[in-house]
Amino acid sequence: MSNEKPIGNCEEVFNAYGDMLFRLCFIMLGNEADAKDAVQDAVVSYLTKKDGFKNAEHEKAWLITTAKNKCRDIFRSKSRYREINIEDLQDMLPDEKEANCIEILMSIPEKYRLVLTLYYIEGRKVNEIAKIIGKTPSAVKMRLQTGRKMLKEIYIKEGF
Amino acid sequence: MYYEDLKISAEKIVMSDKTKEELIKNCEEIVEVKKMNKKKISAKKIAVIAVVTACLCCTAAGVVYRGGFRDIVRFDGAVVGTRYEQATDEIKVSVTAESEKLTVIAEAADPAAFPYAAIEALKLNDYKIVGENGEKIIENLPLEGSVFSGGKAKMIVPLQDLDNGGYKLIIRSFEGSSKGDQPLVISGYWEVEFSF
Repeated sequence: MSNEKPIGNCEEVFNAYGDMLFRLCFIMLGNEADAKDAVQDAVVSYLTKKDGFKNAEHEKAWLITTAKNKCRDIFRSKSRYREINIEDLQDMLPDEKEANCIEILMSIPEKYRLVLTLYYIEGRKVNEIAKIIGKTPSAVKMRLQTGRKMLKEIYIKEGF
Repeated sequence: MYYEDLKISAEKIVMSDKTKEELIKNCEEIVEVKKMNKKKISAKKIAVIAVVTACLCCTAAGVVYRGGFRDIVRFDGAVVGTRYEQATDEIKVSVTAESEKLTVIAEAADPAAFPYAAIEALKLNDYKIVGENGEKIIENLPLEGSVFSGGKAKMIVPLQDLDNGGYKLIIRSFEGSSKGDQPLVISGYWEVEFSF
């Protein structure tokens, strides 16, 4: 279709979406090395995609979905050894309070972490998240609710 | 309150310039390799299509197929010999019938071509002689190998007490041999009629 948004080049993609993808992957995987791998795989998939996108929103949603899937692949292959790399986190967030804030999010199960990240950090709506994760909006709301409850419990326990 | 802090903190998680440069370079290289592989596959596809087209054209033009070699595989998968198949058009068979013997002359159309150039002796391997009504008279009677020279061999099939009438020799394979080599089965289909 002629009105489709064409696939951008590598640098354009990184400038437009690089940080967003890296943040999502870092929170999902817990360390910089795996996050870089996931971002790289997602961008390569994007650059080798044949069809264009309906618009910029469609493009962004596609990249988020792809990155999420790449994270899941890495997460599954390394789940036994998955650890949050505190040093990586402290390098990016030298402020202890900020680092703790993200560490708490990283400590909850994957399915709740993803929904909370997309909703609170990336500002996606419930319907959009439902499409990205392939669940119903009600399921997304349930996950948000459970995820918030988990965060609250840890928050209280840790004395914040 | 927490969620606002969460968003502010998370937004500070960014790629360093060095990481960004490294990833851009990696992605460009991977994409380039993928494109090259695609081109290679396309070239292979074109070559295959060209070969298939050439084969079809040859068939359409009435070109005769040459036979081909095939491994003889034992029940356990071991290759125990080689077979030369579809040689019907490559060997001409003629017979001379006498009261006590049938002389079978097998002549290679191209004696210089392989495998005929390498064969030193030839014999009938899978064959039968049937009567006018299709009844079997002789089947796979063991024979001695005959000298195969100049692309030609003369083989004798002994006959006994055959009534006058028409008969048919049906050959499904010959066996070629040469010193130091395993016998080579040459298969095809030949039919020759004879009578007394």
